[in-house]
Amino acid sequence: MRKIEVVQGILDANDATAEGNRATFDANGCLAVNIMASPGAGKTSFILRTIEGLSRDTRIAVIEGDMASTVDAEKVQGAASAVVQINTKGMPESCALVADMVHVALSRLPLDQLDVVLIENVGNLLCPAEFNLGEHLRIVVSSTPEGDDKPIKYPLIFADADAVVINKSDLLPYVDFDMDRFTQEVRNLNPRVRFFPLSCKTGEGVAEWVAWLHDQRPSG
Amino acid sequence: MHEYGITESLLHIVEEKAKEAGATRVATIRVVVGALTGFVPDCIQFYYETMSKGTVAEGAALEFEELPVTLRCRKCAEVFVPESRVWVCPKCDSTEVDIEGGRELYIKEMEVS
Repeated sequence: MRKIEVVQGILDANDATAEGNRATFDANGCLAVNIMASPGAGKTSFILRTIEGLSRDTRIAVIEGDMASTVDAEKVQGAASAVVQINTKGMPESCALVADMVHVALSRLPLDQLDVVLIENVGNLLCPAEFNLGEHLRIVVSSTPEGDDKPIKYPLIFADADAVVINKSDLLPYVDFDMDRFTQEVRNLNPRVRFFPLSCKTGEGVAEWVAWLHDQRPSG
Repeated sequence: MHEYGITESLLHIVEEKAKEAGATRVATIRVVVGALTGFVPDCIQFYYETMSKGTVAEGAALEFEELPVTLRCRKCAEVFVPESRVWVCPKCDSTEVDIEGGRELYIKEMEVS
């Protein structure tokens, strides 16, 4: 019996594929945005609002990740320049997108004709945090009815976010969501994060988010 | 929930390393898992038993070493293991912290023959 030192990360293969995806996005001048949230936080409505806000001068594609169905892809079909649906059911990971799935999706997108790729991750606050997809921005969409304790329960996803969107701001008068507590909890983990309270239903606050996202594009 | 793919990657690395070492049997695999990751060792074990059948690593014992969350205070640079889910520096009471450890997921070593 002998011992072999290994010290090799189990996610190294995923990270290498993610690096490749990142290089592909960069070569085509595309901004890649990984959108993560719980089920029902409003990811798809948020994507529709984002496309609506950006689209005058921006060509946008959406990669939809879901356990099953093409419901979300159908919703964004008319709005985006291109949509690719990935159903994760039956795949090695069904709870999150992994870099390889995005790699496959990229081969089905006209990247040279796109400015922004929005990646809608599988609804889940735990697993998507672990997998790098090669994105430029990691966005967490939280919503007021979910409660203000999510950053305490799922620290990793908030610690790595570039921006946190607080959706369903129109429901603030009806739910017990302490905005100051929530933003403080996230800042404790991540002092550089940006917050965008907004309502995809009323459109309130969407303009601020869209303006920020627009400024993140390689061309500015 | 995402242990299936993790186990697959793990087995892939183990088989590769065993081959490099010219081993015919893997007895033990030591895996380091950070407390912040959502990985459940029992779940990796469950998939491992099925997946490793017929490989050089069939029947190997998986040993997990869990590393705690360690934080670094941004104010006073104290490195500490938080006592609760509320992350507060024990030295200066600041809640502004950076994650130092707890995200790990790697194979540390293997015993082969």
